[in-house]
Amino acid sequence: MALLGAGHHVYDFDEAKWIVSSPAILETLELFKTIYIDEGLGEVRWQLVQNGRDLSFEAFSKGEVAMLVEGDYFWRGPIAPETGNYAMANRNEVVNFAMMPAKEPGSGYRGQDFVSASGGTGYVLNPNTAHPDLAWQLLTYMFSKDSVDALQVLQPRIRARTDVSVPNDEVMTRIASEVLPLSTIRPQLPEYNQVSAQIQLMTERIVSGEMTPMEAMEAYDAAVTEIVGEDNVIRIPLD
Amino acid sequence: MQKAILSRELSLLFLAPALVFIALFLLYPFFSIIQMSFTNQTLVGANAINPQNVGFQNYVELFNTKDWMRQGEMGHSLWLTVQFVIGSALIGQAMLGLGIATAFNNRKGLLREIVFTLAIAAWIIPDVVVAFAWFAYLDPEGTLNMMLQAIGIQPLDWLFDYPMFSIILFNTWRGTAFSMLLFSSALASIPPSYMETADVIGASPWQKFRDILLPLLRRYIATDLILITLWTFNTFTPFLLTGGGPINRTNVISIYTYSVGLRFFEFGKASAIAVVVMLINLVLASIYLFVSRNQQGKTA
Repeated sequence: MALLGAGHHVYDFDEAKWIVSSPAILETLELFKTIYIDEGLGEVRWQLVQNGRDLSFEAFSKGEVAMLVEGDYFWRGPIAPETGNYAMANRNEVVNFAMMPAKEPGSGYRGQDFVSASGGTGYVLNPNTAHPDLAWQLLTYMFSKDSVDALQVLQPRIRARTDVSVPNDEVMTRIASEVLPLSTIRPQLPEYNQVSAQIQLMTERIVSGEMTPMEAMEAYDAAVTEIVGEDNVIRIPLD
Repeated sequence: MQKAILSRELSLLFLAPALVFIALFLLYPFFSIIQMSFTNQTLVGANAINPQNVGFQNYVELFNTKDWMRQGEMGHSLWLTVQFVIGSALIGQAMLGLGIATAFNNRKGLLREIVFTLAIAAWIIPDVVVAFAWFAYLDPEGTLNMMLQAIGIQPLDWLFDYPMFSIILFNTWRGTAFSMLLFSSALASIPPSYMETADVIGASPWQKFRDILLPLLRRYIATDLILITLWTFNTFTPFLLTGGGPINRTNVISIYTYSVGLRFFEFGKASAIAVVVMLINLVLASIYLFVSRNQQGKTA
C-alpha cells in the first residue's frame, strides 16, 4: 500500500507486466528503512515473527500502539467490542480510521490523493457443471438484495452490491463509500503467490537491516524476473 | 521340509488386502511423484490443465549452482537441515538419551520414573499442543526467560534472535525419549557382573563407560543415530514454531518442500525436491542396513 502511495502498483494492468524496479519501489523501501531502522518508530519483531500481526493487534487493543495500517477486517474482527479476539469495549469512542495518503497529493496510484488495497471473495460457476442454469439461479438468489441484506444482519461486511449498506456502523459505511472507490486489488494471476512471497522477503530484508533498499530491490528484480520471465517485467529507470 | 498349513494361492489371497493398500498408498504415490518431477505441473494457471514434460529442468533449477545457496533455495535449505540434524538429533537427542539411560542404568526409584515419564510424555503429546506450549515457553515474556531472569540472566528473544537454536532445543526435548528407551534397554542387556568386576578392580565411572558400556553399545548407537537422523531430516514440526523464518533462517528441507508445493503450488518442482530428499534418505537407510548387517556378521 505504501508503494501505491508512491505512484504505482506491483503490476501494470495495462501492459500486463510486473514492475520490478522503479524509483517508487526504492522510495517505499526507504520509507520502511526510516520507520523501522533509522527512527525506530515501528516494532521490527512483529514484521518478522510468525504471530507478529496478532501481537500488533494485542498491543493496539491495550493502548500501547497509536497507529496501525489495517483495513475494515481489523475493525469488525480482532477489536470488535464483543466478538473480537482483542476486543475493545470502547472501540467506537477511541478508534478511528484515516485514509492512507499518497506521498504528495495527486501523486498516488492513478494520480489519486489517497490509496487503498482490497481483497475479497468470488464465486464462479464450474464450467463442467451439468446444470448451469440451476447454478446461475442459485447464485442469483444468493446475491439478491434481499438475501445479502439478510446476511448483513449475521455478518456485517462491505458487500459487492452497492445498494446494500452496512447496518448501524458508521465507520464501515464510510470505508465502503469513501475508500472503496479508490481501492485496487492484487493481480489475480497464477504467479502472484510467488511474487507475493518475494515482496514479503524484500520488506523483511529492509526491516531486519539485512540489505539496503537498493540491494533488496535488485534481489527482488532478479527473483521476480526468474518467476515471470524477462518478457513480463518492466523496469522504470531510476533518476 | 515342513508342510505349509496354507496353500500358496490361499496365502496370497490373505495377503491381497494388505498388498492392495501398499500399492495404492505407497507404490502409486512413489511413482507418481517421480513422474510428476519431470513435468511443470502446477495447481493453477495454464500448466495445471496441460502440464508439459520438461525433462530434468526441475532438477537443473534445484541444483543451479549460481543461486543455490541463496536464502530460500535448495542448497541453503539443505545446509540449515544439516545444522538442525547435527544439533538436535546427533548431539541433542542421542547424547542426552545416552546420558539419561546411563545415569539410571541398574537403578530403580522415583527419580528414574519421573524422568522417564516426562521424557516419554514429551515424545507422545500431539504436535500442535507441543508447539503451542513451546511458543509460550520461548516467548520474550515466556517461561524460559522467567527462569533465566530468576538466576540473573537477561531475557532473550529466542524465536527471533536464535531461531535455529530454538528449534534444535525444541526437537531435542521432543525426541530424546526414543534414544533414551533404546539405550536403556540395550544397557539392561549387559550382564551386571561386567560392571561389578570393574568396581572390584577400582575403575572410575568414566573408565567403565568408555571401556565397557560404549563398546557394547556401539551397534545400538549406530541404529539410533541413523533412525533419528532420518526422522529429524523429515520432521515438519518446527514449522509450527517459526514457519521457516524469520527471513528463512529455519527453512529446513521439509518446510522448503512445503512452501514450493503447497504455498507456490509448483507441484512439479516440489516433486523434484521430494525425489532428492527421498534419495538422501535412501542413502542414509542404506548406511543403516549396511552397518547393522556388518554388526550381525561380527557378533555371529
